[in-house]
Amino acid sequence: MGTRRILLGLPLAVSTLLLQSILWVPTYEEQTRGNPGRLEEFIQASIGDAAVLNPILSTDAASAEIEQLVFAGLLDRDEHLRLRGKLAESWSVREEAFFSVPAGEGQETEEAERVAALLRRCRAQPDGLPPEVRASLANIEEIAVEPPRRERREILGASGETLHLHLSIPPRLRLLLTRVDPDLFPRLEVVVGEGYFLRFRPETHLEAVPPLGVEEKRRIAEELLPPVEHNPVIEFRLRPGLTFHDGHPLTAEDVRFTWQAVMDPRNLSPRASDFEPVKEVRLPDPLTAVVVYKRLHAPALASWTLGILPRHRLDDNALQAEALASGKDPASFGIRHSRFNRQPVGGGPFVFREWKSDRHIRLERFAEYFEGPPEYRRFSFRVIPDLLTQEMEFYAGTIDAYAVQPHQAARLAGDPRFQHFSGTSFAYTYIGYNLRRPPFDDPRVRRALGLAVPVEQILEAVLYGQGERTSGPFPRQTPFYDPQVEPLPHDPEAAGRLLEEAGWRPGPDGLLEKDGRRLRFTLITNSGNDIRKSILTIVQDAWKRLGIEVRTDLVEWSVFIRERIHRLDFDAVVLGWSMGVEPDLYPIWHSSQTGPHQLNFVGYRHPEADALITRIRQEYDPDRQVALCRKLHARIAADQPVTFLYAGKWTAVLDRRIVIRERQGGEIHHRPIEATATGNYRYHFHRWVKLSERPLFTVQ
Amino acid sequence: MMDPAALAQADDVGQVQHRGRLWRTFRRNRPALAGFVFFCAFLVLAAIGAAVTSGREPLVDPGRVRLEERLRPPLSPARDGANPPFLGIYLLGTDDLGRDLFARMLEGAWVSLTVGFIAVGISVSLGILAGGIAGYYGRRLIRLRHAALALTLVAGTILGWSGHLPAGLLLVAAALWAGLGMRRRRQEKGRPRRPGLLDRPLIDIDGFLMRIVDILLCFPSFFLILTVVALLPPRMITIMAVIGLTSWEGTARFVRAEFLSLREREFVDAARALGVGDPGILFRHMLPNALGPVFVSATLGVASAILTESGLSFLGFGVPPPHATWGNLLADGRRFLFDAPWLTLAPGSAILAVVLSFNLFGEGLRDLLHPQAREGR
Amino acid sequence: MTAFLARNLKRKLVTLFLVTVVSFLIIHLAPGEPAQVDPLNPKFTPEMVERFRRAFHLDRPLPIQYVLFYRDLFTGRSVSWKDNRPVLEKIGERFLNSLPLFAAGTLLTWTLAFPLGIHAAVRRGGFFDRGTAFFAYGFISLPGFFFAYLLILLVVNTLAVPVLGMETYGFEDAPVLYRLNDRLWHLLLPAGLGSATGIAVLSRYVRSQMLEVIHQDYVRTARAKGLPEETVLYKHALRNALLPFLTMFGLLLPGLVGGSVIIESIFSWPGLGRLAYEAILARDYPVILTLNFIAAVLVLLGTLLSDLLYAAADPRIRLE
Repeated sequence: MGTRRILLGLPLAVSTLLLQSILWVPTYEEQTRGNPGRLEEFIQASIGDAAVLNPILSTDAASAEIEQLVFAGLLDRDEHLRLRGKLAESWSVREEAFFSVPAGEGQETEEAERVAALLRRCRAQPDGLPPEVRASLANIEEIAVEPPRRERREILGASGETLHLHLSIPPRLRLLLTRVDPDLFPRLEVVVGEGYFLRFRPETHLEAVPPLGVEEKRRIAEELLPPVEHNPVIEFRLRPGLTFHDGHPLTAEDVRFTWQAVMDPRNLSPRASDFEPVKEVRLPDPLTAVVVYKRLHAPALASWTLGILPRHRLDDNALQAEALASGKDPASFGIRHSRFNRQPVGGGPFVFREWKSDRHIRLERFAEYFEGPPEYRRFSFRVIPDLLTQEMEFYAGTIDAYAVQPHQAARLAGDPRFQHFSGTSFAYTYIGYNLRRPPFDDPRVRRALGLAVPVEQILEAVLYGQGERTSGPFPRQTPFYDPQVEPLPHDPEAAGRLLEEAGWRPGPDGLLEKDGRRLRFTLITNSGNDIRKSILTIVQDAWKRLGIEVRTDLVEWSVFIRERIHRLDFDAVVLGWSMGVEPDLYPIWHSSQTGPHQLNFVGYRHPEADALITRIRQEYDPDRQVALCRKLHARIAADQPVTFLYAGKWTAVLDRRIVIRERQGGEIHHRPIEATATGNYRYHFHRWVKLSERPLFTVQ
Repeated sequence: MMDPAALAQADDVGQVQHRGRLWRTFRRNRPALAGFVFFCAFLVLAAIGAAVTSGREPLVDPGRVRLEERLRPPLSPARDGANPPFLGIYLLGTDDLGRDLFARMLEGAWVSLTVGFIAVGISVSLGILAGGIAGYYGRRLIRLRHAALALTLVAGTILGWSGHLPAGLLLVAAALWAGLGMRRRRQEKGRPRRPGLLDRPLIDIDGFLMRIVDILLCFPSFFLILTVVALLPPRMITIMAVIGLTSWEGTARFVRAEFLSLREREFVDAARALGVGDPGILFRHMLPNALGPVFVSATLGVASAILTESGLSFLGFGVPPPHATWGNLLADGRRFLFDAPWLTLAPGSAILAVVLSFNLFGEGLRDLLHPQAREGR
Repeated sequence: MTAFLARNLKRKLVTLFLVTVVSFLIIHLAPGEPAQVDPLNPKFTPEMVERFRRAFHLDRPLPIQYVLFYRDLFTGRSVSWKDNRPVLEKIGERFLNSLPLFAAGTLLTWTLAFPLGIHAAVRRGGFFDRGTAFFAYGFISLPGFFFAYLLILLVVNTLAVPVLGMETYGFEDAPVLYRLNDRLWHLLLPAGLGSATGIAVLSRYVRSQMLEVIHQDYVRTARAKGLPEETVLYKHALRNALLPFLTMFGLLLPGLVGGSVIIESIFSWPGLGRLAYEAILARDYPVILTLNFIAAVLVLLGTLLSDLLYAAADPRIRLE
């Protein structure tokens, strides 16, 4: 009977077809031990796919990880997080400083010459001047007078109309400094007279059509003709003979192009705020790039760790050709739309090979890499969105690295097959209070809340010891963090006393009250973060014991940011900041950044902190920068605008067979992987290699 | 012809006699009976759970964090004497924050049940409302003036909501005034009126409601739920409402079908002949007859709502803490699958048991009410 | 027939239009920044965010945004806000990944559900019936991800073969037959899991359909004629019982763009479900709306198809 046979046969056939396939599949054993090629490949697991493989466009961590391998920057960080040359062989920082002389109509040139002569004289014979003034003068390499000139500009006015500006730029003094000197002008005032520079009136040198109001005119004039101007200059010397992966030479042209690409408004590059202070990039020769800045901007140097883009692939000609080839409108076609973002070409240690969306990205080593090709032949980035299955694959040996969760770290530590590393991350977690709202405007309340939080317990229970206490806004492993500043102890009794001092006393039901009002607020955080969720629970429990009525809420990330943080509509939040190495706290702690949509959403304002933050941005001297940062750290810790909880630790687990290979002359020997002093275990990644057997190292 | 009143009454009497027979048939269906027993046990458990875990000083506190006792296996005795769990033993072990899993499961029982029941309550009431209106008033026409009225009302509400309060209020007031005017004119019978532009018929009520159902069916439901849950603030009520609002089409469809056939039945005609008004006919005579299948689908709906909630929890959009549901216990526990399998197994098997019992009970009911049930799930 | 088609199409187009409006409203009335803006990154100054909003037309009034969006969609110009890739290219790529999963799942469901259901109906109340009923309800009642983890653990621990992804990683150089079978194997678990509920539901439905038909007069007549039981069951009863399932073929269409986020996440399967999920999280409006649009088109086509199929199969129905 046909129907019946089909009804039985078909499912049997389908199931058999599917089930027999298992016989053909390589087991884990065959994939790992029985596969010599596996030793030459490093496979990294990730929860999410990369978005855009272009260093000037990407903002996600996954993309950044690949870009680091495919692209190379002018600079990078050494073992101690100091900057060192990468594509740049060396670099130097100098400054060009300008000022205009205050003088009446027609007398400016004379006055300029007079001041120039005065300065030259003082530099030659600095006797009698205070030592810091002498130092500033000695730093001046050259003094010159720029002749006056006229300039016409058109800008958009406040209400959108075009303004025609006529500038008669008076003669200006140009000082060439051997190093950046943010205190130059205050110190020169000792020579030229107190308040000398402020006497220059920029608005008298500006004519506008149609005419402007007094205030408006002064504002525009000061912007175009500042009385004094610092122009720091960085000169990079590139290594000779550098090439991109496609064999095209990498020169200073590409450096300038990268800056232009970042600043091109069509590209909407998120790096634009780093490079906005750049005035121009000069190219005296193909291996030299001279970057001139508009103003003092100490984080400038570090921004050149950005990967350098190949100009020949992305300049207007190349983009036009690509647009025409793919049938798109050339006028609106920019780097954002280019194929390059999925097939990047850079100058880094690994060459991009293949990207299968949400599956894997494959890189192969770059044989002509200037530091020598990496030992691993291939680097693969596999997307495995589920943490649990990542862990299973890691055990099976089909991936080499994955995001180890704190609770797994403890278990893996005991396994002899694995070596593990851990270090403090550059991020810290905190409880932020909305300082605009009572009772958080009272520092005693904030301190009391902080005292009541059992941070040690959180570290122990939620992070399984994978975290370190922190007391301030800088990453712990940078010198800017002041270890002298102690984090708040866990002392609920002191917290209770402080609250009582601030006027909060237990009411009839045991809950704290002041003037008939309960101490009640809502603590929120974003959903999807298990650790923050646990912290929420623990902190709520701890505060409840003080008699505070705390409600908690988990909010989806976008809603959390847009409805709560950006609109400043919250009482208290559990959040984290991920910091860079640079100690620039301006966006997060400066009082000018407390508005809606800005990052100082807790609303911290303190004049002393403001002054320090601005100054740190201008300080090019590392030692003085450290001193300023430590002062700032102490200031913020004293105010407790937020309760600093901890800096998380990352843990990495690797097969013990992965070691560092050293080649000296013709000799090869291996040594175990060590993390650097700052905790970076991947620092020697290009020399890593996986052996077929677990090596035995004698303890040194 | 029979006396209409007697006919209407006979129908009720017949139902009562019917019930005894139904129960006997039901008892013979063993899986369904088992499902029913489990179902009742679960209701009792949830009630107990609600009683002992809520309030300021609950008997067993599901929120009590005991960090030094975290990830203890089931049946281990408590070491911390200060806040002992029920009987001093962690019956089902503790979670990663040292909370008593037994207490959390108890709390989860009633929260999960609440989620299921309210979600289904929303869906069933909407379904009955829409299906009933479509089935009973289906052939009435929606005219241009009705549409204009509704539009004005909606626009006014949106305006009022988004900050233009006076303008919004004005529109709403205008709409209400116009609506009252329409009603009054309808009551002034007899006066012939020339049908104007505003009286142009657009669509009948049945068509309109079915159009809405069509639109809803065009959204993949889990996708829709996910979008809405991701976009709205995470409250328990949001999740219940969203699950409810996206699952009423089925109920609406068969209530409509049922009403369409019921309104042609003799006892309805009889009731109408006796002068019973529309609401009376709808609620007193027709609804009780349509409730059987609704009840079946509600039972199955509770089961699927509990599953949907656990799926949402897996993706991080479930019922937010501090409320524990079995779904989010299961989703949270999976991180510790290797370290503390009981955190996954306990809620997992609990969900399995409850959903299974709801399903069996529901199917049993269906067999009972419709021996040749046509409804697929 | 043509009149029916014309009326139906017109109605469906109106529905489609309303769907686009509703989905557009749902998405745009909810808060969220465009995908590429990281709101807590100091590098995104408010001016920068404003420029992004302008570039994505977010500063325009909603109706204009609506027109712009659907214009871009129909001209194939809309790009993902996450990585600037054309939306259709992204969806196409994922679609090709989802297709085998969908095909295998459907095949499993439809080939297994019918024999199981029919057999259960024939042996109503017997061991087989009770057994399949038990398993069917079990599958319906298990939370999918719980089941998936249990299954993965079981397979990985006992067989030590990979189950994640679409194929064994690094197996590209193997002979074709090996690769083919490797892919089949990777399909098995997710497809099996995805279809478990389907098999359970469908087989129960088949069973109840069969039961209903078996008691019909014509079946009794056939039996009375002395036809062999097999012929009665598989020829007379089955054909009529299958009629309602024809309509379900049309309803399969929307499954093409479906795909379970949960199964795809657990099995690292880069399918459409995950694309949609990630798009929702990242507020990648073009991707969400395009997927929604395609899904709606498929639903409408599917219902149309099932109406036609039903009419073709059942002579009692005329399309007018």
